[in-house]
Amino acid sequence: MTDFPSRPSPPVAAEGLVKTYGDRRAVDRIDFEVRDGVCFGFLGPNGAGKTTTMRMLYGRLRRDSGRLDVLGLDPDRCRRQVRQRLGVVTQANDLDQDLDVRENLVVFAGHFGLHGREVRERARELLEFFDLGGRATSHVRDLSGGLQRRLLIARSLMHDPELLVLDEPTAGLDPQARILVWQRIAELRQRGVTVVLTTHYMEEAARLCDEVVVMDQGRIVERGAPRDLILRHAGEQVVEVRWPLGTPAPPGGPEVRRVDLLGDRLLLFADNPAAALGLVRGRVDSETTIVRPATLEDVFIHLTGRLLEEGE
Amino acid sequence: MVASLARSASIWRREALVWRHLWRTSVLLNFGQPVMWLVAFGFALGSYITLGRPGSYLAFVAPGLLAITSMNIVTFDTMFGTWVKLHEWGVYEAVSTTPVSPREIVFGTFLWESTRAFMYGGVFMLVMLLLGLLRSPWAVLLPVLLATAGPLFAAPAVAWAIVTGKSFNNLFYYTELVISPMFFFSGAFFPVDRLPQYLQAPIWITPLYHMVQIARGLTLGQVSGWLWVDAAYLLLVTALLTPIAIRLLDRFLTT
Repeated sequence: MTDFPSRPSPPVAAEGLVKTYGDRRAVDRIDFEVRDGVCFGFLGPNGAGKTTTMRMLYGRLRRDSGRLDVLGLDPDRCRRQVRQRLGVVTQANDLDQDLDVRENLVVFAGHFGLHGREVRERARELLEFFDLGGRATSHVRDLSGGLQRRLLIARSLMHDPELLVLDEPTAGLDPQARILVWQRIAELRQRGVTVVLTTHYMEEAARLCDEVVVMDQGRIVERGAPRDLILRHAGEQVVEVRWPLGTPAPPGGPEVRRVDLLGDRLLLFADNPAAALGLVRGRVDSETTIVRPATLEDVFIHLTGRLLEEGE
Repeated sequence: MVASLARSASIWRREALVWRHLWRTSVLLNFGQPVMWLVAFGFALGSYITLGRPGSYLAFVAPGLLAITSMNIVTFDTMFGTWVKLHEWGVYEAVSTTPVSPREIVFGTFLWESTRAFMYGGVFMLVMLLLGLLRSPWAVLLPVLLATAGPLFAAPAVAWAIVTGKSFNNLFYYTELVISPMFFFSGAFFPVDRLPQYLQAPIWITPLYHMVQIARGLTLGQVSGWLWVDAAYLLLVTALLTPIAIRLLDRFLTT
């Protein structure tokens, strides 16, 4: 968690990255660059290729073609060197169920060649940082999902990595546990750790990421800062009304940027909500009408025509 | 080289820490059983048996049981342990985000299994000593033999735990079709030299047979040049199986 001098090459650079399973292209010629010190997010539904991309970063999967640079190295050729400097939290809970909380940290540090008092001190610090201080000798299986997730992130930080890779760091957590993890990731970023994460929670990406790419079916369909993406594709405000099923959506007009119909929800993207409401006046129940700020979720729906959590 | 050894030692350390949590049940199960066999076969059954060679049946069967103990100690722990770490808990999935390579995982497992064979076999040797069954000075070499059981029996157990895939029940094919026949037919319980030739040949192929030969030779002080052949065969089998285990684990952890 120290500050690193700026490097000549970015922590991660990928060009034309491809990974195929059988005849399915899980990752299909993607390009991206993660700059030093940023939090970089991969957004997309399940099956979009996010996890596959993460696994190529730490050499768990061999890419089929394309160029990939992680901390200036090719992770397929220099697997060990890359892993030595990378902190990884995989999607699955792969804590060691046979060891207690502190042992999980100490044993893992040992895999990086770290031993002794320094490691114990580091484990104490990280347990403190993740509010696990009182649970050092607890059995892993006695921890809640949120605590286990925090322990996983703590474990990935034992060797002070230059780059942190988090694959769905808050999947399956309740809202409170999620917010705690977000706070910690934000703090790590402030300390200068470069973070790459995947998520299908739009709020997570909007809160944590400086830059995101939106993936769909193995491709990157859009990229940029979350705020810019929202302004570009959805505008400032959204009017959301309940719309009778089977009724065609009203035509747009100068008042709205776009009209989307999703099941029984009609979305009017407009910088001026009052004017947008004029389009549907008299045809909707005002009690079920919501005016809200546009989100990354709206961007995703616009880009792919689907809801994020629906997947493929 | 040193760094690589240190990474294997880190895998060893994980196992040692887990053992520290569970050693009470582990000792009871893994030590109680061979001693029970020694009582059942050596004392009870042995009193009805004459071998047609000097010495009691107890003295004959004890080193055989020592070899069997080392095989069982290593096989069951490695096979079930590896399976759980791979298919159930993702322990090796987590290790594969660290600098530790599949080869180092396998060597770390070898180190740990040698340690186990050494510990549990050592306790069994103590029982033999108390019963006056360790009379030859050559017996000081028995711990070395125990340690070689680590890689020898761990390599196929690791390989099988990987090949067997997600189905836990498939693990038992190995114990039923490989380990059990070796248990009965490797000359631990009866001398094989009086069996018909067509039975002796398959027995000669099993590593446990050679393990038993060395254990018995060292225990009873019947040391001849043939023991070198037995030892060489054990090394050969280990050298053949180890790369297979490493290759399988590597393919499992990098796709």
